[in-house]
Amino acid sequence: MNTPLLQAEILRKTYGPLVAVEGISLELHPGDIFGFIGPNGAGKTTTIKMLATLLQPTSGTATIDGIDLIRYPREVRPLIGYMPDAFGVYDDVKVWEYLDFFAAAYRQSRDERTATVDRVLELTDLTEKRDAFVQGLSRGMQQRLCLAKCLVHDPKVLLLDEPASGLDPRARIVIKELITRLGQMGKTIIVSSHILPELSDFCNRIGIMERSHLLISGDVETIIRQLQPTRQLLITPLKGVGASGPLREDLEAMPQVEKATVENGDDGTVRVAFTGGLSEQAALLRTLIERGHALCSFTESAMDLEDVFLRVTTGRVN
Amino acid sequence: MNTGNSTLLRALFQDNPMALEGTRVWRRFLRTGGETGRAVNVVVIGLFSILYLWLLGTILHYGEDWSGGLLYLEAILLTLAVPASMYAAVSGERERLTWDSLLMTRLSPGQIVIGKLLWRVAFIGGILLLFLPLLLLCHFMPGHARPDSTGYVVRDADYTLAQMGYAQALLFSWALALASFCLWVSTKTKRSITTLAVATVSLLSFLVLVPMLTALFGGKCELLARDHDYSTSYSYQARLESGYAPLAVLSTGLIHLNPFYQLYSLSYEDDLFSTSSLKQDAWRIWGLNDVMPLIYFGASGLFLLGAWRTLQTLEAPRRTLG
Ligand SMILES: Nc1ncnc2c1ncn2[C@@H]1O[C@H](COP(=O)(O)OP(=O)(O)O)[C@@H](O)[C@H]1O
Ligand SMILES: [Mg+2]
Repeated sequence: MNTPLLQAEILRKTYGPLVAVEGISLELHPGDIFGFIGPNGAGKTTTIKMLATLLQPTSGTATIDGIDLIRYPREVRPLIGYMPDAFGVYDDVKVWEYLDFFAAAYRQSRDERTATVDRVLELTDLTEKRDAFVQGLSRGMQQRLCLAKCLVHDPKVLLLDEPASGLDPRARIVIKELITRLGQMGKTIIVSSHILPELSDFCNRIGIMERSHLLISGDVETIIRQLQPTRQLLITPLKGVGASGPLREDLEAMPQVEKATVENGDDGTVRVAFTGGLSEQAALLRTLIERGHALCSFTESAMDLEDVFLRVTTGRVN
Repeated sequence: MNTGNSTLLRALFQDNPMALEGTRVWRRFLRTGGETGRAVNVVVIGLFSILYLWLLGTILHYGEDWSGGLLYLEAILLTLAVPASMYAAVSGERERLTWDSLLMTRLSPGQIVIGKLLWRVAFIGGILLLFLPLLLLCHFMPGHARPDSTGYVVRDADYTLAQMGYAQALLFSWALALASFCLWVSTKTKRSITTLAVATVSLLSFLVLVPMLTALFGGKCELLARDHDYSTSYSYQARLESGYAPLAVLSTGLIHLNPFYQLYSLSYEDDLFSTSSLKQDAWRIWGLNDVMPLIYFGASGLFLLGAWRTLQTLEAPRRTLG
């Protein structure tokens, strides 16, 4: 694969005896949306601040677009759009003035600024609020405005620290859609949350952090495969519990089936631990049909992020 | 001037995005807290206008020369208003969680420092401009012959125009130094309340404590010396012999930095440092009366440099990794 846009190597941050972040390594490519999950106090904000060049790591290195962000913070900052977990907005300014201010702070000319403000307002769906005063916006809109502010200089990397915290479900969905769209635009995004379902839909990569350790990280499918080396198939016979016995016996005799068990319940579903790939899975189905089993359902029970999260953090959470 | 310089000046002054802060403050002043806030503003502005017009009328009608009092009033107003407008300049942004966003942009530390200063300088200028008509009237009105019950009275104005101009430069430079000092402290502290405390304590010790200590221990400071017999006993030589010299020089020196003392010595025809007795004193090396504004401007420069340096170190990497 091509060179990563964001790369961190054993980033570490300590406050005296307290280790806030213990040796984090990361590699992200354009278009990656990295979900950074962990309970409060895990070290997510500390990590993000280090990547944003606002906090000096105790040790370790990190680069963005090949530039060492510890040595050249001023060169790296224009590449980053950083949304802090707790942020303030200036009051007594209008939405467009607020964005215009930041565009000017990124040294854009007057004409460029007009176009920029229109663009980010459009992107964050705030065009109607153009002339509203910032302090009059709802929490969700302020959050979007903060995101809009991060976009005025068209950064390559977005560091979003809990962008959906404190929002109602609807506003949360709006923010999620926005982040998904930004990912499609090719931006590299790190988005943190202490609530897993917030991130499960749109991240292609995740990292789970707990007590200053990054327990696991990588792309979602790889992680699931790692944690669940066998695929779980759920096969339901048409005739219910009565037919599940023979079905189970047949299945156990087949290649690549490690184990077949009848699930609890009255529909007689058989759970199969299967080591084969997709084509073997298709062959299995064909064989079953040929042998005369009447099946009404044949599905893979995919482990979702929630299961991953529980599996990874079990025993470490108090 | 080459283009490099002029773009720098543009970025600092003309096109400095930080100027938006002035707009914000002005708006807040105009619409503080909705309807009631507006009512309060109307009342305050109304009272001020009445006071102002009354002053104007009295000066015009009676030909009173109140310029001395007005200058003191100006000095007090600036000394209170400037720290009040500046103490939250940077620490306030930290508290309101807007500072990180600002640091992430391509604003240079210089732009931030100058931007923070711009509207405050306009504010200082506004106060000075407000007082200017009153002062000029004071100067010109009493100079005219004016009939009263005892016949014609002709009085000279308390200050010459040159002294008046000097006083304006003094007040402006003092206010600028104060603003720069508060800005510098503000870049150093995490909380605005700390900035306010540091500014208040520094001001109080500079304006009140030093003169008090001077009076007590330097004892023979000029203030006393000029009002009493200063012909021999307080001469530098006498102090030197009594072992007072360093303290005396220091305290008299420090008291000269006090803008109120500067205003006080304005009204004496003989400048303190040109009085015959003091001319012989070595401590006239402190005789910086005439260049006091320059000293304040110099101090402003140093404070601003300090603020700029602090912001630079906030920006720069503090550690090089191998
Ligand atoms: N400035 C600081 N001084 C001391 N400890 C800190 C500081 N900032 C964060 N920490 C500690 O570092 C740990 C990680 O915090 P943080 O990164 O904010 O976690 P998260 O964002 O995942 O909730 C916490 O235990 C926190 O108390
Ligand atoms: Mg956090």
